[in-house]
Amino acid sequence: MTLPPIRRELLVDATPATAFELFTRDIGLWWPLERFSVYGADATVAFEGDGRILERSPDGATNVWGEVMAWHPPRLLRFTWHPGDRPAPSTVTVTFEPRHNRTLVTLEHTGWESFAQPDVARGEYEQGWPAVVERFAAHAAANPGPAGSSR
Amino acid sequence: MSNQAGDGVFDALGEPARRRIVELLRDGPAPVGVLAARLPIGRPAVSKHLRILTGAGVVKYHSVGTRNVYALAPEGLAAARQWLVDSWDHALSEYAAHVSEHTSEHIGEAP
Repeated sequence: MTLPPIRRELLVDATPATAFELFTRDIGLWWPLERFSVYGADATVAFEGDGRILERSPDGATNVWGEVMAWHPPRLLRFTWHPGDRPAPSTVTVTFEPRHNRTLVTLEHTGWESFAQPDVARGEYEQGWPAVVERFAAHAAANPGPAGSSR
Repeated sequence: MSNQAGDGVFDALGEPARRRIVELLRDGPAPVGVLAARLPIGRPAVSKHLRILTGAGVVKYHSVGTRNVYALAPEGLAAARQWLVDSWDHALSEYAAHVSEHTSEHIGEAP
């Protein structure tokens, strides 16, 4: 069974450089930790200098959500994505393209479905697909958010 | 309210034994007894996990004679995908709001 990759787009009122900077430098300010995190709303998350996307709990525990694979400001950012400790083949790519005076931000999440591919997943199933999102699920609140706004 | 289809999928798969059952079912459909024989848990526990997996749409079953044969349900993955889509939409809408705040701050700062 094959499903299309997850792809979301939104337009923001900023230049690609600003949009890229706000996405990365400020992830700790906009990421909805109260809903999607390992340690809850009081934690912080940041793109670290060493390329990791790291969540820190108030008491100092850490969880690596992913590792940066490509960092090309202001146009492209790619990172592995496996919140919840265990490695997984999931990959997120974010691109920032100028559109008139705005920026089209496109996020693509691939590889999350690998559990459906036995050859890929067999050896790493315990670290595989469920781990990609199980921590998310633990903190998921009732209502899915509104669609990423493209006004 | 929290029973969004995808939530159910990931809640269902948040338990190691249920992930193991899904793994076994990737080899093909199987009845409870066959699954229990390959797991370090009893048949009642396997049945309970199968009920949860079935309820979440991850697993489906059909009856063969007097027993049920369980198999992975293709729709389960679609539900998981939708859950991820909703999650990213939520995160990205927060990001968009942050960009808007940043932009309006700059406008506000202009003398």
